Amino acid sequence: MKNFSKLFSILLVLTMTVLMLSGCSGKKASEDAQTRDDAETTAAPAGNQSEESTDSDGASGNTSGTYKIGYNYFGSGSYALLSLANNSKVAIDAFGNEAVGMDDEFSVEKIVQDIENMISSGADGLIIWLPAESLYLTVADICKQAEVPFVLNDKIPSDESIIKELKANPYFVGAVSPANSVYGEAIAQYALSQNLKTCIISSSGVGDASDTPRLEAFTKAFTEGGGEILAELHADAADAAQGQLEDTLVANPDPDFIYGVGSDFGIAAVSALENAGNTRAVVLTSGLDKQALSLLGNSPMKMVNGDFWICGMLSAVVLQNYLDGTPLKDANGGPVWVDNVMPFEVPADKYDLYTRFFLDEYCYSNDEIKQMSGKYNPDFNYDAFIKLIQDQDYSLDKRLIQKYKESKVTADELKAVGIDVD
Amino acid sequence: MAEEILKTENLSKSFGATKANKNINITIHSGSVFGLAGENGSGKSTLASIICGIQKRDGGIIYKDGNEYNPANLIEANRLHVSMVVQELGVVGSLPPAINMFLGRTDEFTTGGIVNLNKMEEAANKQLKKWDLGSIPMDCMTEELSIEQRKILELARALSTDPDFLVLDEISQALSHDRREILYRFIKRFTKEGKTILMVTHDLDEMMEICDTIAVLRDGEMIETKPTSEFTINELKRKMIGREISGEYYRSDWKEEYQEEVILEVENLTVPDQLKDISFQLHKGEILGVCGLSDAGIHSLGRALFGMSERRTGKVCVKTTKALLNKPKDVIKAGGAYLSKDRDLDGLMLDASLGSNLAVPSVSDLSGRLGFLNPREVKNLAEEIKDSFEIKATGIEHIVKSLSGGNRQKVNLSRWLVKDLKFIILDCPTRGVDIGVKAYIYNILKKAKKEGIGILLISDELSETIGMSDRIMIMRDRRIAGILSRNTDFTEDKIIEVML
Amino acid sequence: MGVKMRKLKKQMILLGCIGAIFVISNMAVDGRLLTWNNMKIIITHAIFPSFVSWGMMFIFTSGLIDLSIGANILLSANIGAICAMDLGMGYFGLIGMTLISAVILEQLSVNCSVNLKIPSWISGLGMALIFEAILTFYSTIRSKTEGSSNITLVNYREMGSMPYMAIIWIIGFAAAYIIFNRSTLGLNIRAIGGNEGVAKAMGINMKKTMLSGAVVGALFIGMAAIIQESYAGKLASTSGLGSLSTIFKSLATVLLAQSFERVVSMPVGIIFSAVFVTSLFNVLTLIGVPSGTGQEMCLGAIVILCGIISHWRYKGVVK
Repeated sequence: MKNFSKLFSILLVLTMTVLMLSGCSGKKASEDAQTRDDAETTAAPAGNQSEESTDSDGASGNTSGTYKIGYNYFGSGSYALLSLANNSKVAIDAFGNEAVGMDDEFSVEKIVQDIENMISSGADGLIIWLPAESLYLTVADICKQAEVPFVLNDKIPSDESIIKELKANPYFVGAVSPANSVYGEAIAQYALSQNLKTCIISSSGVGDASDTPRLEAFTKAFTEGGGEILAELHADAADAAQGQLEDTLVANPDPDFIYGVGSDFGIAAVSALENAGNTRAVVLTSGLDKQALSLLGNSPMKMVNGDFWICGMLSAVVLQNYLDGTPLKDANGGPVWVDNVMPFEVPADKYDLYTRFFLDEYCYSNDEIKQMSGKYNPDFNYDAFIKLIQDQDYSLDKRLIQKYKESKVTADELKAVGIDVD
Repeated sequence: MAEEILKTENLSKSFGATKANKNINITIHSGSVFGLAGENGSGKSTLASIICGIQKRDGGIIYKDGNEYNPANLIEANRLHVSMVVQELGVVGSLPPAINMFLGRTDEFTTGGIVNLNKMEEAANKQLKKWDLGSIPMDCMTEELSIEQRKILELARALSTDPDFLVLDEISQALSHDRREILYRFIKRFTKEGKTILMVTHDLDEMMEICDTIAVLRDGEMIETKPTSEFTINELKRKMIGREISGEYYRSDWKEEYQEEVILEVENLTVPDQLKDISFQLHKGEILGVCGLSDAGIHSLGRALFGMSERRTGKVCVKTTKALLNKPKDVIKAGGAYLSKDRDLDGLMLDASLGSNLAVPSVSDLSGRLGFLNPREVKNLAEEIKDSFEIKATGIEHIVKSLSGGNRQKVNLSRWLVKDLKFIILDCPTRGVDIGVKAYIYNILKKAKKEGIGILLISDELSETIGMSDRIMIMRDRRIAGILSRNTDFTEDKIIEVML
Repeated sequence: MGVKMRKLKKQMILLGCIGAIFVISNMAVDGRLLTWNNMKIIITHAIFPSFVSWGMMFIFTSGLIDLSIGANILLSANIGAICAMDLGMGYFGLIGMTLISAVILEQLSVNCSVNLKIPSWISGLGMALIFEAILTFYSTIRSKTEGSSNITLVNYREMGSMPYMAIIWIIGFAAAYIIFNRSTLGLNIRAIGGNEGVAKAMGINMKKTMLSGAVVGALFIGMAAIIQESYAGKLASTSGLGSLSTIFKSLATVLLAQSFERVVSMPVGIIFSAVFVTSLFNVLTLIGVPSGTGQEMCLGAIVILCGIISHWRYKGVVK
């Protein structure tokens, strides 16, 4: 019996080892076959289905014209991360595709695993959120091996050599990211313009991929503008941030403002100021969380900015165009590379309209999203895509004007918030 | 003839293939002390456990007071006025003594959901006073009590259920001379009230003195039951073992005999509240016995010498090398070893295999240059020890917890003796072991003495220290009260005189 | 010296040491530590870990190391807040439903261990993942429809502010002390934790006691969830066992309290330890030690230091 147990254990270990090693390979034989099959049978652009294309410049896709799109999100609990993922899913759904979402459980290492799992599940394309510089080429290689096109969403590398290699990857479709640093800069400029000179920063854990660039840009712009940072706090959760802020307000009882780098931290700052009985300091934050916005005007919360995490939708659009056979390419034939999706402000008086057209319903209708594919709208191309971003078509004001055109909002309502459409 | 209080008919119990009790038939009369004698593993504790509801019987019938008796657990047995002080059960160290005494019955002291601890302490003290068991501090955790106090606490706990049939399983082995006297007084009083005691003990002298009837068990079978007066001690031993005990039991010589060379030198050893100014020398080939009443500090001495006591001052060193022995590591490095009184708690890894337990002290000797062990060498050593010390186990993979008390003590002792020892500190080495193992251990000690190993033999049994020691160091009030020589002073009276 | 006196002496030394640490720390931060306002903040921050630790005490003492407590807090707090806010049940929803949820979730976790004979820390981790997943599922839906990933308790937040928090704390302490030290359940839980064999032999129903202990523990955990939800307004969902970070301070508190168990009983030790741990973070913030890195490092070092001090003269392996 004892020997049998030993033998069984050894066999089990061997089986596990073989399975794990096989997992290390690019793909399984069956997947190879499937990929080949896909390459052979799928038409490239839906609008050009007679032209079969197996080269990377075209697209994969399938005969039905719908695709299985995989997207990952770093973790749940954060409204920002979930919104980013939701925006991707809205676009995936709008195009009639099947979405496969993977939760990375706040582990960078798990992102690679999730990407491999999405590929194994037969995804036709991937929308990848990856905050680690060192992993971009690894992930690009995995996608290349698996012949799965991918787009980078929200996070992009800064190293030129990595960017160059990425752009050379035939399955790299593009990258869309916000001007994270602009968020921080905008807050700093706003603070300085309001003569707010001293601040406490409340942010998520050290090294957080979203908060770090904002924090650095804010710090640089604010200190260069003559501001002083009294304390920089990092907490894993917003409820812990509130305690930290209360402690810090004992050490620094009279800051001009608190910068909550994410909206959760802004909300915590409002509570902390109330508990400390501080009625002078104000709170500025980034992230269009409904709760943060609802505090505008009736609390120390004075400003909230953000881009509604629109990169999630825009990156899905880039991938869709590739899969539809109308890839968005710059003048040199290179993939989309956008790193300046700008934030917009939601002032207190526009909060109700924001809720109505960004939360109660999505800021773009399904038809509008569909028009962002060359398959449905032959006029939609790289230039149109870039213009959409440069014009901040996704901003609150632009969307409200569009809603007015759709007769969803009256001119008077818009006038009341300072938008003149007459 | 008094009434029958308890009777068993064809009582049987098996653990797997091992038959612990085979068709046991006994009849016990009220107001008597019924002794159960037998080697370790003969089935005494199993029989006692079945009677108290701790174990379930496989077959047979038990009658108590003429009615069929089949308790589901100890609590039900308690309700039927049967109680037990179990050999290995113990107490909950992290609870105060009073709560331990009434554990499982705390509702009796509860008003409005709150337990009245004062009332419970009062009841506990009353219980101790009622049976004249001496006092136990109540304002501490039970783990702070000595082993003896804990055993008395267990006895008081058993008595608090108002039993008319009490099972005492190896209780006296944990007690010092004076506390044993308290126990004996209690037994007399208890039986005088018409109540009955079933006593399991390895101390045959004690058994012969206290019990009215003795039943001998061997390999789970009842060998003989008859009045104590009809037994001689040698017959009892023979019936238990199934053969004559070969060789001598204690030493037959009456001469203080050891080499001049001093191995261990102790100067002004002091541990606050435990030991005061202890100084002595242990010679090569000497057995130095240590005895004293409870609280005299004899058990603290062993721990202190091994470097396990807090705030120890004074000097313990190897005479020849002048190496100071401050920590257990120093003692082991100097060729020393220590066996504590509580072998299960301090000595053995109960859930580990026999092989692991046997090899532990020799790990550093067996490990290679890079610190790795050769499994074959470890296995060979363990098997060698197992065979040469006749440890009864299925193999070296046998889990130590399931070994009998005597075999556990063999494990504890043998693994040290295979090493190249210079001295060994033994605290009650024969506690809880049967006559056969006892004789075996004494033989080992005699052999070790011959090989020049210095032995410090701390013991609660006067006969053991008298029988084995070259000199006896008697302690009183945590100090050395006197050192007697085997040449002239070895009488029980003389020792007790110094003790008191 | 009697046992009682020795214990009293140790207690005095402990109090003296804590007092001395506070006085020295106060000097180091220019008197900003021992101010009325700052002490109020410290006490406010100590209340949540105190309740969690009392809950853990009832569960852990019987030998069940349940690591789903953090996830339980997050999920039950959110359920309570939904009942209070979305379903309009007010305080009844907040208190009643949070407590009921906490008890049910804890029972699921503990039953999984006790009935399926799985080591409690394994079943606890498994249940933590499940609880986290349920909350994540809810967060994902809410983030699409409500503009926020977790519900915010806008009203009914008095239990998260002074002096109500302090009153609840005192009541919680009295309840924890009495149940742990002076009730049959508390004594039975301690007996099981101290020596399972003896407890069983003394007729204590092990399973019933462990499950009852888990109910009591869950009530304290539920109270902790209510207090934290009321104090912070919302508790965010996590995944990948991120909920463990919710109870990190409480685990440190229990660890410290266990270290001092020989000196003061657990419920009292938890009060000392919770105040000590939160004060530590407060002092470090006042000194200017960076949060997220330096402060956590100091906490780790202090926990180890306390462990060393509490077993200073103990020779042998501390388990």
